[in-house]
Amino acid sequence: MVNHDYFDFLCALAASDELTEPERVELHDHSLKCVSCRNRILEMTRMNAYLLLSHAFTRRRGRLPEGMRERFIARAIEQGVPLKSPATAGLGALGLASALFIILLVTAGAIRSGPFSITVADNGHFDTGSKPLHATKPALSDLRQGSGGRRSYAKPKSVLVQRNLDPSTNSHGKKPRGALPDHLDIFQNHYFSGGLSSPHYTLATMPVDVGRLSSLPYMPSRLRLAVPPALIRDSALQLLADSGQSTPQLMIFPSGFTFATPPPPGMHPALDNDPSRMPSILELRGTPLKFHFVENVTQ
Amino acid sequence: MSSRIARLVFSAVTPRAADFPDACVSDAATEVTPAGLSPLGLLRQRFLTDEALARVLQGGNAEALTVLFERHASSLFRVARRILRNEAEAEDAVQQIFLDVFRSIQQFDPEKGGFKAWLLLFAYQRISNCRRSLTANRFFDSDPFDELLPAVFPLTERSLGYSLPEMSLLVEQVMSTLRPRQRRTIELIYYEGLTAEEVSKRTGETVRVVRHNLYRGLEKLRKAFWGNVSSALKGESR
Repeated sequence: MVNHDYFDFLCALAASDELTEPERVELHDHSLKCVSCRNRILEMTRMNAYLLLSHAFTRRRGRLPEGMRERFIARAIEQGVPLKSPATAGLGALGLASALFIILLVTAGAIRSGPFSITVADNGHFDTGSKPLHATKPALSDLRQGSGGRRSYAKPKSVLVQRNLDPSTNSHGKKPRGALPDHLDIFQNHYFSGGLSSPHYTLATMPVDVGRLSSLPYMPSRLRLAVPPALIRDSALQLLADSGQSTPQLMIFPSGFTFATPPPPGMHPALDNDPSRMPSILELRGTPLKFHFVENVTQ
Repeated sequence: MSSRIARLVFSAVTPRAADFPDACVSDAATEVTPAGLSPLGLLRQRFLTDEALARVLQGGNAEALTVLFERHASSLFRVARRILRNEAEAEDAVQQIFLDVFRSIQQFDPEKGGFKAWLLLFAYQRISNCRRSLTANRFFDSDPFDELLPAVFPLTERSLGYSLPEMSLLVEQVMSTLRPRQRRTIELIYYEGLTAEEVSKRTGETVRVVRHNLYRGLEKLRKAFWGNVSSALKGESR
């Protein structure tokens, strides 16, 4: 007589499809009269689903058979799904990189071709008017009067685009000339969080590797700076003090930044500060944050 | 003479950001707008979350389907290949699943959970149905346990007893308690889609040992899980 442990063994292997045909028949005949084995097969079938689904849920993208994407698009079109043809649909990795490169190139060209960002230092907001910038370097005495009701404007000194930091101050609702494409704006706005301004210099920042960041497959909808704002402020003050009248050096923090999950539906992202709801989905610890000091020029 | 730094008056330039220094955000990332067919539109779609893409798809923009396919087809393909044991059938099943997703996308409700969990459960059920269909067409020799499977379906997070994130965490924790050989065998069979014979060739163990390791590992997993969900299972079995 066969021990029941043997059927337990067969039940486990049945769900994972590892039985031989004689074993399958044997277990089937047994399970017709054994409730315990029927339940065991059911449990193992669930276990099968647990293992496969949990692995698929946590695992990142892998490779597909060659041409599967194109075959899918062709089939979808054939069945009436309004997609573009396989040859042109979507953007491959190369297309994506090219598009990103072109965007960055256009942006860089726009920066070089003319000034387009204006900083109002005396009211604590960046203003993005359409007024052209007259980048005349003022006398030191003028600079020292900077905060006395005079409007001062920032002249970018490095590869940096300054734009409106507070959308509410942009009365026109239009993007300023030379602004970055939307997907890059997001990063930039985040990194302006530590911005400080003075009559002479404005502290601004930008990720050092925007291209790499924005080529991530998923646009992070939330991003948290790993550097405490107080540390940014203190370090900036120190750098300015050390620099005397010369241009302060770049301020670089080795710490990286964190992408977190989106806020619950209906909640403004800025209000969702609950750490339990913001598990980090990506941390770029090795990517430094680079802060620029932009000289203010009085008009 | 006072130093220059003493004259500097610093002020935060972003009052809102200063209020929430650790949670700087933008709505633009989750904003759902018809992306159209322009290269920039397609580029923007690639940066949307799954849930936002699903909303775009619900809004009638079919191009979002291609992005979702590119993101998730490989995961589904692995599951399908494991269940169907055939690459061509697996590819066919995955393609059909995404076409079904296009037609059934209105069923997705982001309030009830993430898109990936919804997609996986949606797909698992269809792949299992595909297997049954192939069995009925005698692609497989026989599957006498098929009559037991309806008790498992419809497959939902509720019927499984856990949400997918919870389940993933639990599986990972329990797997870490297995003996290395048992764990490796399960990983090779379930995650890489090998058969016991193929595992035997790769590891140098006999098929009998591989099957025994598989049984021991699965049995430990079963005991770990069913300690928690046995009541739910009994309730459904009645």
